[in-house]
Amino acid sequence: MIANRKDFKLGLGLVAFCLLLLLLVIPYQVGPLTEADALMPVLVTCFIMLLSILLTIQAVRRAPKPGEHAEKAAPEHRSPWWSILIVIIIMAAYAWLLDLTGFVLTSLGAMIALFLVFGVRRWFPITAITLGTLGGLYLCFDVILGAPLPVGTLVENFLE
Amino acid sequence: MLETLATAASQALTLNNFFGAALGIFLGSLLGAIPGLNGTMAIALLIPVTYTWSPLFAIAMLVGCWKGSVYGGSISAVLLNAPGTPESAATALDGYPLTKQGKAGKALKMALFASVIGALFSDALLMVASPPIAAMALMFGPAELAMLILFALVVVAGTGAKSQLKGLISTALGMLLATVGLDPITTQQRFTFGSIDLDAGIGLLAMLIGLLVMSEVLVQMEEGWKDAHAEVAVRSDDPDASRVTWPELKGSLGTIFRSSLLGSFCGALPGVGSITAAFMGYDQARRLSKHPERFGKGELNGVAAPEAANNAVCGAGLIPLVTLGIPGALSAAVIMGAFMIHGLAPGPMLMMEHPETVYGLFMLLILSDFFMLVIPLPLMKLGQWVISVPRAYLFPVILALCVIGAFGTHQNLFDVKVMVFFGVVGYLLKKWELSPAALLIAFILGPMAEVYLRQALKISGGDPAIFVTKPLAALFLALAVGAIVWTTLRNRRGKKIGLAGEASSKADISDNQVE
Repeated sequence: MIANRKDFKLGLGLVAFCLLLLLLVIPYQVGPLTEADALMPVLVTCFIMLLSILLTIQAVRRAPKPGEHAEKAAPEHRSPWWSILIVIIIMAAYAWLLDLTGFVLTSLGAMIALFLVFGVRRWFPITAITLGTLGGLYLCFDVILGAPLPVGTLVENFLE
Repeated sequence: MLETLATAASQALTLNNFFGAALGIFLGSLLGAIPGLNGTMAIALLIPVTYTWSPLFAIAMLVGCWKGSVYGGSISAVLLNAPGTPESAATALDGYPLTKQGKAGKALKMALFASVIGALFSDALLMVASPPIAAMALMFGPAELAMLILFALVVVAGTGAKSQLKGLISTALGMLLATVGLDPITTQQRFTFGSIDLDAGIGLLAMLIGLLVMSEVLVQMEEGWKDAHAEVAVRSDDPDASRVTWPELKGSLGTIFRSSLLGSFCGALPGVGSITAAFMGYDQARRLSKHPERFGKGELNGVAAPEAANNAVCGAGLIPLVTLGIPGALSAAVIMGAFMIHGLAPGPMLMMEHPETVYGLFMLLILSDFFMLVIPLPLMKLGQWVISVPRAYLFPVILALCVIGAFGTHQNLFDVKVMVFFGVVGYLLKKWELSPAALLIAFILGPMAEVYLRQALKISGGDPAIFVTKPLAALFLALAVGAIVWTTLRNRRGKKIGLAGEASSKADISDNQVE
């Protein structure tokens, strides 16, 4: 009988992760387990494994305390799981496309998409805040700090 | 010594640096006032902008931002009963009732005076206590330093997560992440998976922004948020309702000094932090008051005490950082990142190698306390407008700042990917009730711990007994073990500090805000 499923899964997951590190990753990515280079990774991995085993045992024995996973005060704005996933996808695309389409185009697209995911539907604030933020960042980094923001290879080729 | 102070003054007391400190306080007060944002997030987003600036200007601005955000949190706490930062939750207990009585101006000004006195007290303590502690720390060898870091990590792990076990797991994960990159002694590649970008390890700033800022946006999306709605505060015709009279301030001075002392003590101890300090300050003020029944109903000392205590944490929180290189709180860890990015390694050697910079920083800190008397005043008037900005408008801007902030420091697009990765990692950590704060502090201290551990083992010829035969190392080891045992027993008996619990429910503390 598992009293706390969340911690049980976390504990088992961490044990598996540590085993993977000790058996496969450390020997190939660091070196033999007995070498000085591997001392800290091995020591820390074993420590995490020990704690994870304790967490798993605790999860079997102890149910969450009353109110431990209680919902917080009723919020006005709560986003479903898929909108969180969409934000993560937008952010990943933002990071990967910066090299290709540059700061201005990528940020423009990403910010508009983010506004829409957060439920803003009025175009004036979307346009004003997006342009204001991008203008401010360009001014701050490119002009004042002399740290040019990425132009993007596609944009560079187009301009040439 | 006098020569050093004179050089420090000539370097620090420039118009440029004054502007830096003032700007930090302004931005901190502004961002701290917005519920959902906090000082740590603000500092993390500001670090990349400071990269090309002088270390003094940059660090004075960032510490100013920290202090400003602590005060800024009280603006929304007093006006809306919605603490902008978790440490301001105690201020709301009496601040909001004062607002309902039409005395919002009086409450905000008392909060400001108490904050300034608390900050001054703690900065003076930092200036006085740091040199002897740093001198003492210079006598520590690798074994003592390794065990000191271990002790600090255990304490931080015990306070940052939902349980001691999860705190320790978070800390160990941070230590593991710190081993990515070239080995600090043999330069052997570790966990780089053939990527040159990982040779120098995981970028601290990118990780920090992802873990603290991006993940917080995701968590707030999931848990939901309440936008602050500006209400028309009750107005009073009494001119004294919007100012603090001399007898009122005089009557609160004792409370303010006691809270400042308490806050400084909490700040100097790793892992205690400003939330505990604020509630302890409030509690002592109530217990020592001649009219404890007035607390919670609009007592001015109930505003002064927590504000003095939580602001006193800032300066004192820098004592372990500057003298031992150990950040006792999350904000201090972020400031430590700023030190490192500017080529300064916090620790006892910092006072030896860059005394002018350190004393210059102390001078700017004290000066920034006086700026605090003036700069947040306009925000009191703007307060209701500033804190009502809907978060749906704020979050896309914050996420764009995260991307550009991660890119800005090293002009490296790989850092942006690292930031997004750790944004997701931070979100998952919070979902599993692990502590990103403990992970981050361990990540910062990890390389130092490893170097000292291996140096100590080399000295002893591989014999781990060195950690128990050296008296100071043994003391720190015993303290670390004692901290684990004490926290475990305390949790088992269910003797949790009630006030800290109140703090978490009041302020809707998210994990990255826990210091």
